[in-house]
Amino acid sequence: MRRPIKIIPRLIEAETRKAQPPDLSPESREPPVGAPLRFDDVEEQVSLISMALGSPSDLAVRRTSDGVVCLFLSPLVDQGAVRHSLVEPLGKADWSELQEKGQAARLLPVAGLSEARSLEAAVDRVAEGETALIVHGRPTPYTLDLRGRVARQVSPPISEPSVRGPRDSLTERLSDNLGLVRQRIRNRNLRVRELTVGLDTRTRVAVCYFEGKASPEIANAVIQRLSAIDTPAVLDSSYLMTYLAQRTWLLFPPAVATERADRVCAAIIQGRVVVICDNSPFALVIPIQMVTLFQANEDHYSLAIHSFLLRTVRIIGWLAATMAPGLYIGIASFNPGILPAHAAMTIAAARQGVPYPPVIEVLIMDIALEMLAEASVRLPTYVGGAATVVGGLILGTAAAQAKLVSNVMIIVVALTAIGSFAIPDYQNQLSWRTVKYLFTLSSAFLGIIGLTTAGLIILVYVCSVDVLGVPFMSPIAPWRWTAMVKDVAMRVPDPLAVELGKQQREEEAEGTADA
Amino acid sequence: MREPYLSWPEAAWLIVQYSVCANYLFMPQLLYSISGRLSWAVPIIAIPPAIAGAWAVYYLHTRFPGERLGQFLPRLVGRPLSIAIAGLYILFWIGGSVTNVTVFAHYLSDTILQFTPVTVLVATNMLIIVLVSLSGLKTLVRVNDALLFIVAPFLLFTWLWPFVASRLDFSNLLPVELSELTSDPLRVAMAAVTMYHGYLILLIAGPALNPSGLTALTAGALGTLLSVFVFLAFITMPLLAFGWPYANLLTYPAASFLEVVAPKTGLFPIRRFDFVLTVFFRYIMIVAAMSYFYSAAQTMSDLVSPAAKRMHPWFVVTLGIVLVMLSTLFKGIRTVMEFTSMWVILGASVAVMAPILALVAFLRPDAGHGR
Repeated sequence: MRRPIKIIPRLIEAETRKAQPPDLSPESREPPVGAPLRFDDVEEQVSLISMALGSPSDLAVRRTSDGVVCLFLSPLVDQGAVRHSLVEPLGKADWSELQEKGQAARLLPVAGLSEARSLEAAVDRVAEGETALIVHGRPTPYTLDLRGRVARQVSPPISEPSVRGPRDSLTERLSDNLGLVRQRIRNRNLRVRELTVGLDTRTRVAVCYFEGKASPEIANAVIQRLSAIDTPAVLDSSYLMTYLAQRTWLLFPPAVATERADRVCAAIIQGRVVVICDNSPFALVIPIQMVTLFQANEDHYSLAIHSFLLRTVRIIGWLAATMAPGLYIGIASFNPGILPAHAAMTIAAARQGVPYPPVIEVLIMDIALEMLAEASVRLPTYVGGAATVVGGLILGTAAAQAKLVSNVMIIVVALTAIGSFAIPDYQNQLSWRTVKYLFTLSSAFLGIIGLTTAGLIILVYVCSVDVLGVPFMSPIAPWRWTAMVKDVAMRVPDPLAVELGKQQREEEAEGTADA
Repeated sequence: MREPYLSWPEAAWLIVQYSVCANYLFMPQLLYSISGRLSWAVPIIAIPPAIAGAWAVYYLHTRFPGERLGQFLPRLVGRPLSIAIAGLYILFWIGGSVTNVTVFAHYLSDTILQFTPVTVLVATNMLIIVLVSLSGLKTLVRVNDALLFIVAPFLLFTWLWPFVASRLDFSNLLPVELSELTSDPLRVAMAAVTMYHGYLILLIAGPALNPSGLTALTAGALGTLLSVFVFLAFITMPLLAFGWPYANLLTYPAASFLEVVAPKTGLFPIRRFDFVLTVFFRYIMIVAAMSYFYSAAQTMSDLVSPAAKRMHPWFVVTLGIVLVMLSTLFKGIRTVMEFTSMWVILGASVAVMAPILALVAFLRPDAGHGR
C-alpha cells in the first residue's frame, strides 16, 4: 500500500500542462533557453525530487558528468558501492550512452537497476533508500539498489537461548534474515513474497513459505491480510500480529515471534508461513496452535525421551504459574479439607497474624512479582540482577517476618515465578500471567470450584479461536491423533516422525485433518 | 478448517457425554425406586430402543443432510405441528440443562460450598454454558473433545477401580425377579427409552458431520454402546457394593458411587476423594448442560429464523438468564429429583418421536424438497 506523495503529482501536473510533448530525438536533447520546463531536464528533476523529499540535509546530490546526476539519501546508501558501481563506471563511459533505452544495464554493474515509471515513483524509491540516476534526456530517472546501512551482525539469540542447536539469530536487516533462511533451506520450493506495509514507514515485509507443504489458502490469506494493512507505521513485526489474526482483542498470541533462524526454518519446513519484517529481529510464524507455544526448538536437538521430560516439566511449570495462587486461596479460604489435616494446620499456622484474607495476600505478592519481573527487564543487566535478588529475597523475607504475608505465600509466589519462567514463549508467558489473575479472583469467590470455572472459561475461549482457519487448540481439540502422537506431549524420534508426517499428509489430503 | 468439521469419533464422544451426564446424578436412585434390585438390567434392556432411535435420527439425517431439526420439521409435518413437536424437544432440552445445572449446584451447596447461594452456583455454570453457545457448535464440540483428556481417564478409573478395590459382591445382584421390572412397566419402559438419548444431538449437529450420511449411524450406535458401560457402572456398582436395599437408601445421588470407588481402608481421605470426584462430575455435567442448552436455543432460533447463520447473542443471553431464574424454583435437591421424574417422561416422548418422524419422512418422500 503506497501512500501518494501529494506535492509531486501537483507539480508534475503543473509542469505537464506547460510542457510540450517530450521530444527525445538527439537534436532536441539540449533544452533551449527559456523553453518550458521538461522532465528530461536534469536540474528540474533534481529539484522536484528534492522538494518532494522536503529538501533533507542528508540528501546527497552527486554530479558525475554534465548530463548525469546521482541522488540518494546518504544514511541509507553504501557510499562505497556508489563509488564502485556507479561513479567509476560512469567516469569511464560516455554518459550520453545512458540516454538510449537499455544501455544503463550494460554500462552499470548493478543488479537492482530499473527505470522508474514516473518521477513520483522515483521519489518513493529514493525515500526507501535506492539511488536515483538522473540522465539528461530521459523522462524519468533510473533507480539502483545500492542500499547499505548500519546493521547489527548476526549474533546469538537473546530471548531464546539454548544449550544445543545453532547460535545465529535474525537481525534487523531483511536481506540478512532472508539469507539465513536460504542458507538452511536450499530448495527451489522456498517461496519469498515481498510486500511494503505501513503507509508512512513503508516497511518491507517478506512472506516465506514452502510450496507444496504450506497451505496455499493460508499463504494467500497472509499475503492478502498484509496487503490490506492500512496502519501508518510498522516499526516491528509485532505490529502485524493483530492484522494477521484479524481479531482485535487477543488473549494469546496468534503467531510465534521468534528470533531464531533455525526455528524460522523449522516452521517453514512444517508448512507454516513466516513473516519477516525489515527492521525487526523477530519473525512471525503463523498459523500456530496452543501446543506450539509450549515447544522450544531445543526439543528437537535432544533425545525424544529428554524432550518428553522437558515438556512435562514445562507443563508442570505452566500449571504452577497459573494455578498455584488460586489453589492457595481455594485451600486456605474454602476447601482446607482437601489437604491432609497436618498440612492444613501448617497453612493455618503460617497465616496466623496475617491481617488480610488470602486473596489480598496473593494479590500483594503477585503484583510485587510483576514489578520485579518488569524491573529486571527494564534495568541494565548488571543492575537488573541485583534488583531481582534484593526484591526477591529481602522484600519477601521482610514481608513474611512483618506478617504482611505468610511464609507459605512466599513459597507459592516463588513457585509461580519459577513456573512462569519455564514457559518457553515470552508472549505466551505474559498471556498466562494475565490469565493467572482470572484464576486468582475466581478462586477468591468460589474456591477450587471457582478455579475450575475459570479453567472452563479459558478452555471455551481457546477452543473458540481459529488462526487463519486452523483451530488454536488443535490437535487436542479437535482431535488430530497423528499430530498429537507426533509432537505434542512428547516428540517421537525422527524416523518415526517422518513416517507419521507422511500419514498426516495423507490425512490432510483426504480432508480428515487440519492444515 | 474444512467444513463440515465433526468427525464420527468426535460425534460418538459427544453422544457419550450427552447421554451420560444428565443421568449419572439421578438415574441410579430413580431406577432403584422403579425397578428395585433389577435396576442393573435396565441399561441392557435400553440398548435396542436406543439403536432404533439412532437409526431413526440417521434416516432423518440422510433425508435432510444439511438441516437441523428446527429447519426441516416445518416441511416434514407442517408449521403448526412442527411448533408443537419442536416445543416438546425444546422443553426436554431446557429441562435437561436446568436439571443438570441445578442438581449439581445443590450438590455443591450441600457439600463443598455450604455458604454459597445455589443461585450463584447456577449462574456460574450458566455463564460457561452461554459462552459456549455464543461461540457456536464448533466450540462446543472442541470443548467436548478437550474434556476427553480429563473425563475419559476418570471414567476408566471409575469402571476399573472398584474391581481392584475388591468391594464388589456379584451375589448382590441376585436373585433375578422379573416382577421387579413388571411392577411398574410403563415407568421402566420410559426410563429405558430415555436412558441413551444422546443420539438426539445429531438432530442439531448432523449438518456438521464429516463425512455425512453413514457417519451419523456409526456415531449414534457407537456413542450409545459406549454409554452402556457408564450406565452399568453407575447403576450396578452401588448394588454390587452395598446390596439391596441399602443402595437405595443413600441420600445423595452419586454419593453412593463415591463410596464404591473409595478404597476400603479406614484411613482413606474420603473428603478429599469426594472433592476430586465432584470436580470431575462437574466437567461431565457441564458438557451435557451445554449440549442441552445449545440444542434448545438453536431449535428455537431455527423455528423463528431458519436461514439465520448464527443465533442472536441477546437471545442466547436472555435464555441463559431465564434458565437461572427457572432454577430458583427448585428449592432443594429433592425437588430436582422429583422434577426429573417428569423430565424422564419428556425424554421418553422425544425419544419415541424420532422414529415417528423418520416414519413420516419415509412415507412422505416429497417432504424434503422446496428448501
